[in-house]
Amino acid sequence: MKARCACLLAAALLLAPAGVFAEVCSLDNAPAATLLLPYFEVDLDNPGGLTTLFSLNNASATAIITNVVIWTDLGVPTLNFPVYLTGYDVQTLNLRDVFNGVLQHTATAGQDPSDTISPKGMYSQDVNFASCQGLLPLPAALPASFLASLRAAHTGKSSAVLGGCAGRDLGDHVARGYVTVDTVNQCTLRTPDFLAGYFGPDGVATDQNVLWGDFFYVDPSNDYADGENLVRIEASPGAFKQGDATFYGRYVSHSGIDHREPLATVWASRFVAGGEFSGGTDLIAWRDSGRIVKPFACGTTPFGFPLVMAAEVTFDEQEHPVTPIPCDFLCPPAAPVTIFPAEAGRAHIGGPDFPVPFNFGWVSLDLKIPAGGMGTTQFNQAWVGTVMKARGKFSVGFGATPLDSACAPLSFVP
Amino acid sequence: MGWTLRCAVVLVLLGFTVASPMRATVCALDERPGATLLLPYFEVDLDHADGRTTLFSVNNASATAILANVVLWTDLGVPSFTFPLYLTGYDVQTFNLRDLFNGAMLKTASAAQDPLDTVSPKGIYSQDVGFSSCAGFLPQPDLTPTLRDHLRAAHTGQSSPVWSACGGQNRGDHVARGYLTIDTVSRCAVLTPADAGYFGAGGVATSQNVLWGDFFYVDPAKNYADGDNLIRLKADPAAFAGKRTFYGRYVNGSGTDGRQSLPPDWAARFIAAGSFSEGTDLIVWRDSGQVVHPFPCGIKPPWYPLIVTEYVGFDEQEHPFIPPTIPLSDRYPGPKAAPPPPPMDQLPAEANRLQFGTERQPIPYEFGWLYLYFATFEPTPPFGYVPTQAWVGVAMKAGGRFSVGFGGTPLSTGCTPAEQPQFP
Repeated sequence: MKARCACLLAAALLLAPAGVFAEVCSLDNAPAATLLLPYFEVDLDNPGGLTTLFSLNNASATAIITNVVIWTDLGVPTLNFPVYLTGYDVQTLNLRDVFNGVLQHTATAGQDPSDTISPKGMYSQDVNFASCQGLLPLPAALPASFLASLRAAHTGKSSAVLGGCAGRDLGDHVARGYVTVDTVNQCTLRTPDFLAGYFGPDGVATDQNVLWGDFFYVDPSNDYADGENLVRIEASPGAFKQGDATFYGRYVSHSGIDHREPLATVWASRFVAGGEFSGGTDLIAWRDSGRIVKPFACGTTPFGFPLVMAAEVTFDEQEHPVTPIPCDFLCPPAAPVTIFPAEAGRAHIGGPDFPVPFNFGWVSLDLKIPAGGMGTTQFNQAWVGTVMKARGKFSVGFGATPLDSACAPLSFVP
Repeated sequence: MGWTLRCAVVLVLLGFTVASPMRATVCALDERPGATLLLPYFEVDLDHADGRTTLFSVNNASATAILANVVLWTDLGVPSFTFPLYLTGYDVQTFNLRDLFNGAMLKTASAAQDPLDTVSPKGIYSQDVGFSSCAGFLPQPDLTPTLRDHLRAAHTGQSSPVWSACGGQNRGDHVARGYLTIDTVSRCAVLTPADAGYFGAGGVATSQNVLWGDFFYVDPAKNYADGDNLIRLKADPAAFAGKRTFYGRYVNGSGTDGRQSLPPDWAARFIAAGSFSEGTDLIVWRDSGQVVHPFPCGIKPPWYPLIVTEYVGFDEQEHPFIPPTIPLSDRYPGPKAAPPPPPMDQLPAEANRLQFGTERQPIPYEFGWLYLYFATFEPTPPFGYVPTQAWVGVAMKAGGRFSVGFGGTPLSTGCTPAEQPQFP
């Protein structure tokens, strides 16, 4: 039986799509080298309240190491940890667990000789990553002081570990931020914002296009749940040169050595605020500020924030457009559009931050930061998702429609 | 903050910047606008006015006015009805398929049929033009009782008064099922992709990659709703000569439809416990490879049921569940050097919903993921598989509370499809 299993595994490894297939700049759902959970929220006051779940899946028979990085909504990394995936593995994570100090338990063959922590099936490879000695399996619980800092960082409070603030304080106790997951070649304490050693020839990041997964926002107390595929960012060595837009470009001086395709800059989304969907529509957005954001003094805002955007146009179902320009004739320069002021956020269409005069229609968002603003236009990539809600009944979530790629950004939105 | 309409001069700018079709990468199955939209599966409970139904939207991403051709297909792939849809620049049209099965048509009209701009109004950024070919077609009248009865019968597996034959599966309920395609076209015509004159030189289909949209399954009585983007199929008239295409079966594999095809292999997660106590439904559209015509009621097309060439269910420890060795279907493809696993025929039609793990083929896991490979078996030497295109989505359901739906993960592309199943 053992021989048969070994034979099957060998065959599976041979047949398995090593890098699967990468068509860069297309933003499709093919397995990728980086996954982006564009926005998360966890209600820390209510154990039965809103939380965010996500899954990590390995599309290949080859065992891999991933580096999970938690970022605040302003783009400060606060925690990273390795997750080991045997071939074809799936790991599901509830971010409420993370904010309760409980991390995912996985271990490579070297730390798990009896195969009890990361068991595997007959098609799946299980190997030893010596670099994970002492790191995997992760400790049963985060230290209390670190956990308090983590919770503070993601609710806009002062974090003792970071020595300041790292996210927005929206006056509630909801942890917010985003998550990236990269394939790496070793267990590491580094994050993509390390100046050296994460990407490049001696870096830990790899170009294995094998990750897929999904995410859910679940609010049991309101009977809401919606979700979507995690954003898959494919790596393509050699495809990007100095000056090209890449997903982690801001951390590699736009050298292209992260090899990750960028997202889009212009997005379209439908919205409804009536009929079955009486709860209206939220937009979820992740944006690239173009900056390496460090912890900052509480009560201040990091340089470059709030983020503005190049344009926003709302259409009703008869294509009548409106734009947030406050006059009809001889207008002064338009007020900056600050619907999504952070790197990760949620905005309710029709709410105070995103007023629209229609109940049905669609919006076009050019999320590039205007050249006259605090950033550089060329590299301001983004991702947008749509959540439509029926009050207290159900909600539907899906990705918005990209109208370009940061590989070849459109320069104009109606 | 005050609101204002922008001045018309912007429309001039717009003409220079956005009039051309969106750039399309034609192998990746991404969410950018396409020349064809696919609603992979729909269902409408005809017995309950507040029962489950399917909604969808069609959006024009360009300033240029366009015509689209909407085609309803039964779940076995028989085109049952087609109608034109006019979209001014940046238009959005929303549909509830229940309305259609009740005989109510959406009203649109190009400038030639709508000189007062009351049927298809537009905004300042949007082009509105006249399509003279649409005289007599638009605005679309409501369905005659005969045509409405035809639609309801064709999509519930009953004898259609128009066909005097059947076109779909009879599942023993009164739920209309099928799928739907929407193509950009150059003129109004009573044609479907299955007809000569649809593609190629002089054909009505165009390659304007400007369509986007979404779809929802809504079941108000059960508090369920889930949805996803409509599948956007990009067109490139020069890219597919002699190659696989989405409508390849209707153009004899010539590639003249210019539409990217879908991949044959998919991965999808499933959950059948915890918050999602009602398990996971698979939504599957697949290509039978056949041009299907109405057939005598009581029998099925000769290719029916379709089989799933390989499926493997993995639990969260990657233990594979491989189907039992007794073939479940008499359509087992026959001898081969290394016989493949027995086929699964629970996805027998072109458009399907399957409550995975509970219908016919139970799976012993509550959490995990599923590998699916769609192909036909070549029964003549040198034997082997011929991959067939498909699309897979999932809907995870919490009893009477909520559901979550999203697309599966394609493991190859229609341009370079996996030539054989992944698992030995």
